[in-house]
Amino acid sequence: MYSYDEFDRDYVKNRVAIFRDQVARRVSGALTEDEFKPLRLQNGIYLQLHAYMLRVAIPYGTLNSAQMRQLAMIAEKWDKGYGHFTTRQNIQYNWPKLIDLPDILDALADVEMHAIQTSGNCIRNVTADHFAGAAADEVEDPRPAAELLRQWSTDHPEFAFLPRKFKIAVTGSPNDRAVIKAHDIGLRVLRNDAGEVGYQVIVGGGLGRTPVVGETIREFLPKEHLLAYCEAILRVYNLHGRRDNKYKARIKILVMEEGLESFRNQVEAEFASLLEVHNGPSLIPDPAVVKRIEDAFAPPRFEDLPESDAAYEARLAEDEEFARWCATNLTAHRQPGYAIASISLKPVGAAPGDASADQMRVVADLAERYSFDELRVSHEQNLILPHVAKRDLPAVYDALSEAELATANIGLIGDIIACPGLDYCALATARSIPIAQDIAQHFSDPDYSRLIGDMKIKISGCINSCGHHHVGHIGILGLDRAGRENYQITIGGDHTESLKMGQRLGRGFDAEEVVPAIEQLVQTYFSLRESEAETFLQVVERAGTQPFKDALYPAKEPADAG
Amino acid sequence: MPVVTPDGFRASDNIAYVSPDALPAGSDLAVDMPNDADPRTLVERFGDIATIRIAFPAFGDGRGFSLARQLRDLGYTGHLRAGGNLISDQYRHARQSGFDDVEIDDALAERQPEEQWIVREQRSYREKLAAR
Amino acid sequence: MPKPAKPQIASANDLLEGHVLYLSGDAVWTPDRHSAFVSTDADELGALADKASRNRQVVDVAFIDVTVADDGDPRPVALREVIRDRGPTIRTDLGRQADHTIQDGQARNV
Ligand code: HEM
Ligand code: SF4
Repeated sequence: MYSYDEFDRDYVKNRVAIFRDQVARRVSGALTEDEFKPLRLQNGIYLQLHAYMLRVAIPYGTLNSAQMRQLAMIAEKWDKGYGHFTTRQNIQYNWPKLIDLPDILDALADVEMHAIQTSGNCIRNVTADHFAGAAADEVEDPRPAAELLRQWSTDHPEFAFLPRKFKIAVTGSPNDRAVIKAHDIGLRVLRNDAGEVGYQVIVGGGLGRTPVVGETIREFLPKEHLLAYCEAILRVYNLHGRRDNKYKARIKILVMEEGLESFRNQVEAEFASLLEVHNGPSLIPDPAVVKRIEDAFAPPRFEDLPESDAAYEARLAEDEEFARWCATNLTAHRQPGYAIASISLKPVGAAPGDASADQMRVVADLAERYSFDELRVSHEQNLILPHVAKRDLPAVYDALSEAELATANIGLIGDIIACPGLDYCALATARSIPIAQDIAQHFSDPDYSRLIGDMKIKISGCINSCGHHHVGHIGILGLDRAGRENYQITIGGDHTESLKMGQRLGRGFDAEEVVPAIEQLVQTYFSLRESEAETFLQVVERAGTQPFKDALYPAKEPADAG
Repeated sequence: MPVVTPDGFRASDNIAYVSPDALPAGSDLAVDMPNDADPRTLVERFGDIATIRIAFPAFGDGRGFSLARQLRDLGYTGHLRAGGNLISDQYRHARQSGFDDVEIDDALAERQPEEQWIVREQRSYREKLAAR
Repeated sequence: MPKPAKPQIASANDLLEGHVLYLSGDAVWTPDRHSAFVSTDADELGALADKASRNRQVVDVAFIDVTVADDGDPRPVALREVIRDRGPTIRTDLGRQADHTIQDGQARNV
């Protein structure tokens, strides 16, 4: 794992001091609220319905046990004993006081964490595949690129006041687990025909009110040009992105309005001149810096283990619950004898993504003991022990069970993504969490949910789409219809490398109609599928949305009535 | 109208600025550049320009930072000034983007006096990443 | 036909602590909604809010629609404001709903 060098340490501490000073100047009146707001946002601080909210970056979703324990400490000391893990590999605290925030940021800096640029019109926390460094299908670990981008983008003097927020995601695998096509820039590590490693660069993706699938701007970018190319994209965006209308200010609109070809030409021209001007100096990073980063992500010292383990096999055979958990929550590891273990933060009845301080500590202990001190946060709002020896899985499972963290539903219908919605969020038009809870409750029978199989339900409390509803197999969007919460349902969304936006089925539903509607969709799927192996998404792709519309809106009610 | 320099505030010099669209003949020019201008059109005349002032119509509008970098990248070595609505918290961005100083109005100078503009010792990640 | 003006109260968040405040008739920002001043005149609310804000720094001042109960208690209309007034519906142990000093109408002017 990357650990701060002296520069990073000084930098982050100093930023806390600057923020402390900014709070003091806001209180004294030297800064107006209009001026202070972008400054606090650049430190991850929002004002929500009930209180301030702090969004802490977990860069590329990787953290160690000491960091997780510090997150738990902060939750207890300055918040209300829990935190919310988000779809962008951040953790949010919902109750901090502005006067405590400089101290909280200091406590984060103590464990090499920060909240810098988790909000505001700047380059946000860079996200990555949560299985990075462990996945069997990986070309190369994407995290060195993500860390390099983190350093480059941190307080980048040119890009601190962009037209709008800017999100970058990186994956190292052909199977995209980082939703890179729904980001302003998506990067995929790949090997070209000559065997060199570089990046496919995707630009202009995004969700929100104008969902757009990102397009490839560069098929292959040599590794050493990563920063220069990103700088060129950002510069074109900073100079030409729209600033007249907040809803048209994202780079996706610029790319759409200019056309990909024209946009690409501008970027390539800027890129060429950047290389010419600097010819190395500031945008081809110092090889020593790069090497230090790459070394930090060298694989841990795995043991030479046989592919399987007798005790693990025995437990599988005799303990049905354990076997069920293994079937859903484990992913193949590239190292023989190891597995990637996902910890579901979606037990029935919970708010998706919430973890208590106690749970954070349990997970930290397990990481320390069984996973080379490493943890991951997934964009699906779960936690991950990336490197567990199969031999240790029974012990890990038992400890998780004790902490009520052994829910066996990863990838199943209960593994719902939900944004905070109207229970917390000032922008929300409807609640999300209670809908997620109702659905999870209804489908709580593990046999039933296994029968349904691969199913991603994603819920957003407004069109901003923080809950990724556009790319859910079933997407639910909460709106306000004449003062009542109303939920629109889409199906057929796909969050992987074949990213697709879901299609709306028809008029929205009242809150209490949502669960029956989902059950309808599931029944329709059952009646249509040709085998148990055919997933919900495959059926939608084969049969189209019409049979689902017919099921949800029978009789004469036309599907498009509202 | 004070000008904020690395050595603190000083009174503004009364320069007569010209528009970049119609540069007069001669040298030692001072150019007032809106933040949607194309700096490439000035390259031929860089030798005749002593000062370029880039406008910041609102402090949230960061185009001026990119323009400054572009000018520097294109080889402009004259004086570069940011003018308009910048706040003290953006001074480090201005300096690191290639500006020499920042011109602010009296009201802002009063609300954010000199000591608030002094940049804390804050090295930029660009320096760290730069190849030596 | 001009719309009949709706009864409103003024609300904001405390700058330093972030918690929800309401504007009382004597121009004080207070956590106590029961004592919030009800008006159909936005200018009147605005002037009162300005006065109150000289004594306490607040952010995000907004006027919110209310209905006035028989006992004079102003109740927010929008679900958003109801939740903002009480706390998350999924965690009744959190927020103003869990704060007895507020629920019993004894909110201190902290
Ligand atoms: C709680 C306070 C939050 C606020 C005020 C907020 C605000 C927004 C806004 C305004 C957008 C639309 C941006 C645009 O289209 O230009 C957005 C998008 C998004 N937010 Fe949030 N959000 C919040 C919480 C979250 C949470 C909790 C998550 C993760 C669960 C999240 C992740 C995202 C993602 C993934 C997108 C869509 C991707 C995109 O940027 O196009 N946000 N958010
Ligand atoms: S989708 Fe809307 S309601 Fe949900 S967190 Fe984002 S802004 Fe808030």
